Amino acid sequence: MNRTIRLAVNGREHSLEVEPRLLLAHLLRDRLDLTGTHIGCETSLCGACTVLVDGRAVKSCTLLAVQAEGRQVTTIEGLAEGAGTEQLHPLQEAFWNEHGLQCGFCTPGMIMTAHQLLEENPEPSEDEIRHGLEGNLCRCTGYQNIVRAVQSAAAELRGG
Amino acid sequence: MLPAEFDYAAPASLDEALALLAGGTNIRILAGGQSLLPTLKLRLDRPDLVVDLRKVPELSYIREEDGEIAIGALTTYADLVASDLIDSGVARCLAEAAASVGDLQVRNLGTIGGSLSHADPAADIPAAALALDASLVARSEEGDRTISAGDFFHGLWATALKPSELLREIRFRMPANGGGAYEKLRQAASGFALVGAAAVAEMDGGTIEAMRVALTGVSSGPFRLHALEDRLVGETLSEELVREACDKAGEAIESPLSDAHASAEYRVAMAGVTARRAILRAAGQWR
Repeated sequence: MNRTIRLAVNGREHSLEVEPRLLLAHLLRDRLDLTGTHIGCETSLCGACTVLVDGRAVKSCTLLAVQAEGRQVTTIEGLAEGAGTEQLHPLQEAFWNEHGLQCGFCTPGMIMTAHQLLEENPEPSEDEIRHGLEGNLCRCTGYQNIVRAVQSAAAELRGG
Repeated sequence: MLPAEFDYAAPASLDEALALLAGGTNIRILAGGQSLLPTLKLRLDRPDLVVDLRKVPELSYIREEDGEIAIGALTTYADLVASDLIDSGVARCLAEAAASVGDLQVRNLGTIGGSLSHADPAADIPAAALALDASLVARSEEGDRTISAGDFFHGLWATALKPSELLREIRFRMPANGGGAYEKLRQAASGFALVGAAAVAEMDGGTIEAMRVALTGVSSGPFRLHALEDRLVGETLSEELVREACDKAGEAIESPLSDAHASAEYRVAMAGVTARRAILRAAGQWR
């Protein structure tokens, strides 16, 4: 039986009728056209579908849409100040500047996980970044530039 | 990848959840969903009803009561990792086990009660619960039933819980002279334990007053190494003693697992190594 849920995505309130088995990743991509959230492995290993729910990084392929009822969901599209402008979030800027991506498939998930990491630890060591991003796989970069991008964004966010 | 269709309920209280459990069959309880969702998506399981506990308010807490720690079943791994109380004394084996689960995203959602109830043979939390000699409080419409961790695990994904019961709390003693540690060799792809060892030590100066050691990942379920524990209790702690006692610890494993990730021989050999490391760190906190 379908249920009507209310949730906020990138600051906008939505009321949607969903099947209980619908995954949050599909709700975001297919119902709200927020295709920045990627679906990779579909088995909760790759982290490409990572979004923030109430500020915490979760894999949206491993959460039912109904579980997000009443929550604040943030996707990569909602990260930049004044969404829709050219002004990127410091993490987005840093991934660009430090070449933290090649194909870009893993990037939205990487950035959302890194977002929680830097909220909790504004000055992480390289080890802490690598440990924090364990749930996000990249098959292009070898991670070196991703770590640099997170370090660079951390410095920027600290006002360095 | 969608699960098969199911009915869904999100009860607002524990009583309402228990009434649902009592009133049907083929029901699954959804806590953090980090094991249930993958299982449903792969259609390894097709429940008629999923009871989501997210609106039940009284199940997420970490409290100290009368020298015991009480943890609500919906407490997440991330909550455990962030708790100063859990990062101390014997409880540290639980903090380390929780920190070693999956990855950040999984730890944000997965719960202690979910892990124990799911009873994956390679899960980390069950070993810590055994080493802590925890009491697991199950609730049904009949009331509470306390199950000792030693009686809780019944092999592959099986526990002492009845279909009408829901695990609501985990309790364990917090002795002043205790230390705990968890050691694990991770399966590289999944992060599950190839071999995991949890140890809890109670020390009187350099003497081992009590020792509990549990393994996970090596057979059909987690279990205590009673013979190893008996060998250590009453002795003066030394690296030589622990090394010698752990040397053959792996031989206590009945039907050791053998799969693509590690042979039975490897698991048996590493069981002693991880147990030794866990014991030395648990006891060493009090040297």
